[in-house]
This record gives sequence, structure tokens and C-alpha cells, in this order.
Amino acid sequence: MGFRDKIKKMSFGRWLKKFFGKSHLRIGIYGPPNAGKTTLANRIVRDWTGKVMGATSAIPHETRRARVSSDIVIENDGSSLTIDVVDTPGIATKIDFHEFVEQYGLTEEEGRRRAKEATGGVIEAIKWLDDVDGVLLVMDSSLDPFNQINITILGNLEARKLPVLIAANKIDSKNSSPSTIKNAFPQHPVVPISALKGNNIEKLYKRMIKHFG
Amino acid sequence: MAGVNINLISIERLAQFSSRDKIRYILREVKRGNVLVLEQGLTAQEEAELIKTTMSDIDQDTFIGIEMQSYSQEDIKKGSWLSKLLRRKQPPRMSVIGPADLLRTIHKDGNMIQAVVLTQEDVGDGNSKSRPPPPKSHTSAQSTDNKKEEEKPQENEGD
Repeated sequence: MGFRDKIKKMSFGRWLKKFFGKSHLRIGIYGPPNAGKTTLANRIVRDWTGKVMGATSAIPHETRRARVSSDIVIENDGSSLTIDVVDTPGIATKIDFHEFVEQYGLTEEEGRRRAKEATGGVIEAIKWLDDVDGVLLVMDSSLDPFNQINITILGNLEARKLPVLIAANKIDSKNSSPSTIKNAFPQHPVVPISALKGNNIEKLYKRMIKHFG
Repeated sequence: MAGVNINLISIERLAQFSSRDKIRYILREVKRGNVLVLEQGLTAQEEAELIKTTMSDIDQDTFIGIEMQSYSQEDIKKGSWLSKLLRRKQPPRMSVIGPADLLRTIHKDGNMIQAVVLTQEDVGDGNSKSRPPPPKSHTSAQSTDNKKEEEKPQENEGD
């Protein structure tokens, strides 16, 4: 990336941080439900601190409150990046408790409670967009990338001039196609990974240091 | 008369609203069971606001949310050097927004949104997962901008 491109991509806030030497950045992990956001957050936090950030589940909207893990130092090839990781709830345009009951076997009471909490989580995730310095956008590489949530999140990040790195997750799954994501969003860097298995995770760290640092 | 209203909203009509009023108008219409096709869609920020407001309004017994589909806003490629430097965006392209229990997207790519509109008869008792499959009507929207089809996918530097 040339110097001119860097200037163009940098928001006023990021300039101020560079100027005043803010020591680390706040990186939000965003995406639709079940893309693997918390699995990736756990991977990052565990790799660099040995701790775990949150529970994961096959049931959508497992993460219903944003969680922050501070002062994560990522190192690669002599370079380092200090970040606060913000694991956000999945963003959705609809939440139907029937899905939890019929597809995942929750009771109606559990389903309704989960749905109510999930609506609050979506609102919280969107509000966090105002408080992050960069975003790891997690997409399930076995699904269609033209998902409206991906479009809306990317549009907001571009409007805010926030740097974004797309993690094409779940490359260990049978139908994975990270190239479809690359073709869909050629203007953004894409790193194919498996947050669950750890495939390509070093490549992601290297790219994070280069892109967010 | 049974069926679903599909309202095609012109740019001029939308221009009468502030962002907040536009979102209120859209949600009001969607909650009435109408599907809206906006000649000029929402900006990404407006979409995020619409999602936030939708989440606040969700009631599991009467309104489970919206189905929304739009295209990405492209960067301005022609125009002043300042527009290009600031990476200004072209105006939003067409959007379709409807009640989540009536509107289903069946295909979407960079130039086409294909959706199924269910009728109240299809929806039945309101239990989305028990709805019968055959749709009563079928609509699709194709962008007039075919530039993307001509462009070859670019390799991304990310890998």
C-alpha cells in the first residue's frame, strides 16, 4: 500500500492517535451470527494471554453482550501490535425465537429469553462501531458472502474510514470458498482462516500487524 | 383482497424525509405487512440505524424483524480529485425491505437480488418454520448497472 493510499484510508481519529502516540488500538470483531467471532476472539486471546474470552455454541446469538479483552500484544517477525479485542454479538435484521426452539431444541421460555437478549446484543454491537479503531470482519467462507449484514457492516466501516480485515473463517469446512469472498470484496484484504483449528492464524496475525499497526 | 402490498418508492418521495423520518416511515410500512422497493436505498449508516430501531421494536409475537437487501455503495470513480481523494461514495442503489416473515431472499449477488414474497396464507399461524413452501408471488430486481458483470474478479492482497 502506497503512502497516498494510507493517507486516504486513515480517519481523523486515527491520525490523532498516531500523532499523540496512543499505545494501542481497539479492534472490534464483527460479523453475522455463527460466523465464528467468539471462536476467533478466544483464539487470539488464548494465543497471546492464555485466557479464554467467552463461550461458543452452535446456537446462533450465543454472544449477547460485547466483551473486551485488553492489552493483547500480538507479535510476528519482530513486529508487534498492542490491541484491545472487542468481541461483539452477531448482527442480524431479524430474530425469531421459533428458530431456537425448532432447530436447536430450546424451550419456548429459553428461546424467548435468548431472542430478547439477542436484540439488545445487536444494538450494542452497532453502538460499538463508534468506539473501535479497526475491525476484523468474520465471514463464514462456506456461505454466500453477499449477506446483507456483511454489506451493511462494510458500508459503515468504509463511511467511517476504519481499517477492516476480512477473516474468511471455517476454511476447514467442506464447502468453504474463501475466493468467493475475495471476489465479492476485492477492495478489502481477506485472510482465509480456521479459527477453530488454527489454520493460517499466523498469517492473520502478520496481516493484523501490517494492516492495523 | 389477500396478498402482499409491494410499494415502489421513488427518489423524490424519499427525499422528502430526513434519515430518522425515513427509518420511521419504512418501519411503519413494514410492520403493516408491506414490502418496500426503494428507488434509492439507504446509506450504510441509515441501514445500521434501521437495524437498531428494528431490534428495539421486535416483539416475538407480532414482529420478528425485517428482511433487507441492498447493494454496496460504490466509490465515486469520476468527478473531482477531492471526491476521489476522500473516497466519496455514489448514492445508494436500489433496496428492498419487508417483514422478515413475508419476504425471503433466495439469491443475491453484486447485480441481482432475487426474493420471494409469501402471502398471509403461506405464513399461516405466524410460525415461520412451519410455513408451507410454495410462494404465491415472486419478484426479482436487477440492477441497471452492469459494469460489475464485465469486471473480472481481482486477486486480493490478503492471502
